[in-house]
Amino acid sequence: MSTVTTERAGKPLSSTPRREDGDRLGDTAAWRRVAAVFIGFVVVAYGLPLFWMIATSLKPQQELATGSWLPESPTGAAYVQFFRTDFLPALSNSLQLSLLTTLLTVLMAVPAAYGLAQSRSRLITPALILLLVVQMIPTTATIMPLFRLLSQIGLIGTIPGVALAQCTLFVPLAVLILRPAFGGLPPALEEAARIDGAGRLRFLVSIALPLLRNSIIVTVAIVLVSSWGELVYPLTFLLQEDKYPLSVYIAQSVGRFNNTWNLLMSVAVMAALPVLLVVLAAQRRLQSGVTLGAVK
Amino acid sequence: MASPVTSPPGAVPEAGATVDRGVQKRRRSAVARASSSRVLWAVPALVFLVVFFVYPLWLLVDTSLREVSLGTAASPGNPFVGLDNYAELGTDRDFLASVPRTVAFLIGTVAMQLVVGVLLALALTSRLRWLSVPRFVVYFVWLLPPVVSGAIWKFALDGSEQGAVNAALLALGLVDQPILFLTTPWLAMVLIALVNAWAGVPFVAIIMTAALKDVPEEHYEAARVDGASPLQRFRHITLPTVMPTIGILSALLVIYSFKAFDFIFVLTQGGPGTSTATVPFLAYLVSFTQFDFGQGSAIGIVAVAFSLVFATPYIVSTWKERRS
Repeated sequence: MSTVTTERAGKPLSSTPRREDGDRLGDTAAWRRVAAVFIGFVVVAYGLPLFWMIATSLKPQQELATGSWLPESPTGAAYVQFFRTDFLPALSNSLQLSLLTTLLTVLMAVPAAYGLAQSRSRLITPALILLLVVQMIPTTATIMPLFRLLSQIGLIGTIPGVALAQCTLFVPLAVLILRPAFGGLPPALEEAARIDGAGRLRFLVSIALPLLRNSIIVTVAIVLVSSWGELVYPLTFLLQEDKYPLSVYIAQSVGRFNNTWNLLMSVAVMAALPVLLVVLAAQRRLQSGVTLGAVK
Repeated sequence: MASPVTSPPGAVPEAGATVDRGVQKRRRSAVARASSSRVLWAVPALVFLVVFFVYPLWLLVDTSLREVSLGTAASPGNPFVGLDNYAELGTDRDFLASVPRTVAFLIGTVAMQLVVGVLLALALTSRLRWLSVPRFVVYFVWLLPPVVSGAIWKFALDGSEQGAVNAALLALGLVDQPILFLTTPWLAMVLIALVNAWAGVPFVAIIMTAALKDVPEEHYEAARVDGASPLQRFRHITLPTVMPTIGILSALLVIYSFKAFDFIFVLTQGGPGTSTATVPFLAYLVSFTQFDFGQGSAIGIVAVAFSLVFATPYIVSTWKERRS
């Protein structure tokens, strides 16, 4: 990786640490200071709201009026109250919805990404443009007609109905992330598999998917987390409160819980926890997936 | 795959040539068949999108040409009114106000995301220590559900002394009365743009960090040797290399911000009145709080048209790339 130029050759290597992420504006002290101040500003701008969320969720009811940033006598009362009441069904609904959405998305997107990579067909360009356009249309425009469609097929007010609606958001995303990955597989690989008598399904399952497991994991992580937090479709298609996932619960509670911020923030913490786990588990892999998928 | 048929020995040359051509043709069509059968694997997803996206879009067009109210929404055969719903938009104050508001919102929120996001990416690719902390925060906030970050900001910007920001301003003696952040229309709109930018900056930083790492190190070395200042290096090496990414990113940010629903819903529900509704959000409000589905669909079509315009450069570049 390291490419030591002749100009630098005289210096001992230890004084020129060659990290992969080298400096972009130059390694001057002034730029470092500016960068450090900027990073500090960003950490505060993002850390402070997250701190408010956690601190407020630990406040007892009687401290809410004071508006201080720190709870004087921190308590888990808000969490206890939630576990006793509405929280568990909402958590279960969220899990069902995001798992079903992710499963359906992967089942459709993996074969589609495979089919649209590499092969030369007139279908490909229109298919890609359809995928791009679907991603770009505002969801509010399609709520009403999707509502009618789901009513016609008897899936309105059900979690599978919402999962299907959400798949319109995530199938294009997943295909666009996975297609370049399939395109990167050498064609000789499939040729060799075919000579050995493997059909396309066999090739896909036993050869391509294991090789592409990083991209698959990234896609599953992104779809899982996005469907976990998605609001529009469950908000409008689930007609009964007992079907609401956490996202809808939070959105509805913002009005209802006007003065009980500790409760609302405790739900927010619980909704953020799975995201925290996913990022902890997959941060490195995520970088490559986002780069490939979102901007080519 | 069919094994190629060899020409029979002793055949006349002309016949042999014909057979060879035939073999070639068969071989070509076998290749074409193989690749067209491969593309068939995309059919389930494409059929799904046609049923659950293209068909609803057609329903949207149809509804926008009819008079549809709450009672008749589910049944077919609503009275056809032609372009009346669209004509009404021309005199609809809520709609006419939402268009410039949407444009201002998009310019403001996208500019903030680009500037802060690119600066953050530059800082994240510097040689500072402890960068793993901001990197982690960036990934976490990028994936944080908008409804969660929206709820946090709704609390922080609460218009009473309970809100974190007002509490701090009061404690520091900067204001006597809590500021009505989210119920003052213009202020609420600015804050929605800010919160949308707050949530969007991590995405820009992630994409730009990757783009910056792709700039060949040798170019910087060469510039250093030539004695270029840090700013010159940024202007003449970094910027030209990452410009295509910034271009695509800008288009994506406009499209994503135009779609923004969750922050508006959580922070203001588009209110007071419709004073913080963007065009797509107004389509939602008119359909689902005023139950005027015909009118709501017409606004929805306008929103779709807007997003197609925003998406055109992106789609054209994809098209060209496919051609080449």
